[in-house]
Amino acid sequence: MNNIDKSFRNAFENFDDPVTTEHWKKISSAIHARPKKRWFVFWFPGFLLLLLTFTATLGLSLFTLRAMEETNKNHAIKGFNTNPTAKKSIRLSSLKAALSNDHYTSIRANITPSKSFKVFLNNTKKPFFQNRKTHYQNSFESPSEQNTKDHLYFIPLLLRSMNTFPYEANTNIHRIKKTLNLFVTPPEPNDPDKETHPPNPIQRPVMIFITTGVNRMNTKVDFTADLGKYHKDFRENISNQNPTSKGFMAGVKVQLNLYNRLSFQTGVEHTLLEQNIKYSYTYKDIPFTDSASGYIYGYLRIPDTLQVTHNLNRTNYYRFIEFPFQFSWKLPIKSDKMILSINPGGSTYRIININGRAADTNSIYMYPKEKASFRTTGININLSASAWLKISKHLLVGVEPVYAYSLHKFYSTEAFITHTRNFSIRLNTAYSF
Amino acid sequence: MQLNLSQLLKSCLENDPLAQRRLFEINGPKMMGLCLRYARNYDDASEILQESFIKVFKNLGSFEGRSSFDTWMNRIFINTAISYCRKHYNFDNTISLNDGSTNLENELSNIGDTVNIDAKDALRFMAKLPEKCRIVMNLFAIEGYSHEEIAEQMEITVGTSKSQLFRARMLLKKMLINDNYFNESNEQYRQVI
Repeated sequence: MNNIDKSFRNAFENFDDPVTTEHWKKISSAIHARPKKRWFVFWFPGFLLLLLTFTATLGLSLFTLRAMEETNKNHAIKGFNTNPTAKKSIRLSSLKAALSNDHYTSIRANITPSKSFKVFLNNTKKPFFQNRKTHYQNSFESPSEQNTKDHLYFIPLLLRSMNTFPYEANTNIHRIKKTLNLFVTPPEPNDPDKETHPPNPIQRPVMIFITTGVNRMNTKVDFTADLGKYHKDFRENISNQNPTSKGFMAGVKVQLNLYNRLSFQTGVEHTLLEQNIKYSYTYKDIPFTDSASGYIYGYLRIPDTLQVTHNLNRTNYYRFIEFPFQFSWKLPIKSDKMILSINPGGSTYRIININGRAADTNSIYMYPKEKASFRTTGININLSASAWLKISKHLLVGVEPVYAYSLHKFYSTEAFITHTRNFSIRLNTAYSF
Repeated sequence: MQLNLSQLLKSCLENDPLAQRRLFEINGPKMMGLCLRYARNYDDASEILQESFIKVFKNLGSFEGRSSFDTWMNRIFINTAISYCRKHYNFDNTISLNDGSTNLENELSNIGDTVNIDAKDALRFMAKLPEKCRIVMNLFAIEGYSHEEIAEQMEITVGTSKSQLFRARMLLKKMLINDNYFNESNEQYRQVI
């Protein structure tokens, strides 16, 4: 302790300042206030839960719907696949049985050519979000030849609406009120290729995949215009560091097939990055600062014998959680084994932890690490390309290089801000339903 | 006296408003003095005082009596003051001056003898210091922390702590000279600037 320290210590010995009633009022109101509900503690897991529930519901619904269509098709084929040239009469009761085998529990037809034509289908096994009771109705005003034709068109329309299969049907009514005669043509013969090659797994409605990969993150530094409070070597020091982070990521994603080649992917990813900052700096100039404004107005050159070289070896660890949302467009290539896709999109990230350790404390420049200066949440723009290899009917493996650019500043000080650019290569293992 | 303090703390723990106010009145002035040393102005010091007392009352249950109550409370106030400065002031990352080991530093930042400084003047000088310098000066010279403890407390390096102290001393010395606290001007210092 030198004499300046002692002088100030003596000056502040027994130093106090009176407090006011206003001070106490504020303290009192704060300590006796009702505790507020800390909603922010719950929003994050709540959001995660909501996302997973939404994804699971959507996936399950799509899966059920697709499965139902397949079942209907099969049953319809079994029930109506008749000789295309022969006319076959099907009684109303047979139609009812055929249509209600799994999903349609009742069919009721009131056929009165002079008045109206009504069919009620009661569907109990459709997904919950669809109308469980489907009501088909057609009305006629007078018995005429035209009305009979209308009947003929209505029946195939009805069957199409029921997602059976595209009938090229001729219908006729022989015995009004009791029998419907359907003349149906069978579906086209199955394509032998389609029999030997099962549907492409990536085009199935839902695909869940585990993704792991290695990351490399660079930071782009933008300085503020006014660096007057900073040492003249500051800009050069920061620029020369250009720290690169390396790490790895892992996550779970879901892909939902939206339309033919177009899919949507979302999920949760966890990333751990290690950032190493190393530099060596020889200190030659002492800055003199204006105490009021903080600006440096001069430097004193230290004699060579007093120059000190400082080394910094610092490691920061960043832990992110990321929610990707990206589309996937499958490229039309003629291969049954390989699938290529381009995936534009984005992701929202949240920093969940930052740790740092310095190997050398004799540093003239500390890499700033106040958490308040980090933007803890942000949005990235992502672009990736995937190459998938089909292993089995349901299983695929893929490689995916990903480039992500942060739209928000990652770290900011008064003197500079940084943006991140993240490149990763991922290995994906997928199971399709 | 000790018994009275224990009773007072017990009543505070039971959320007795009168006891809480009494504790505030007893310790408030001294703690306000501490806050003024760390803050840039009176309003900021008031905020640090209020924030710290709220913490004291809310965490009174965690006071185990291993150290004295004053020491425990002092530590809360210092932590709060540092957090406040970090949050509200420009806790700039200006390149620090030196590692505090050279002769040049000692030569430049010392004075021949101690001087009697008025507390108000001392406060005025401290308020003019850059934030980091002020905190390091407070912790080292007034509270008696070591550089290692300061480094840990402020999440900086020991070298930075030393250099900030050096810078604080230099600036304070300049202010003392300008305010005619010395009969003879420090020629070496004037030469430097």
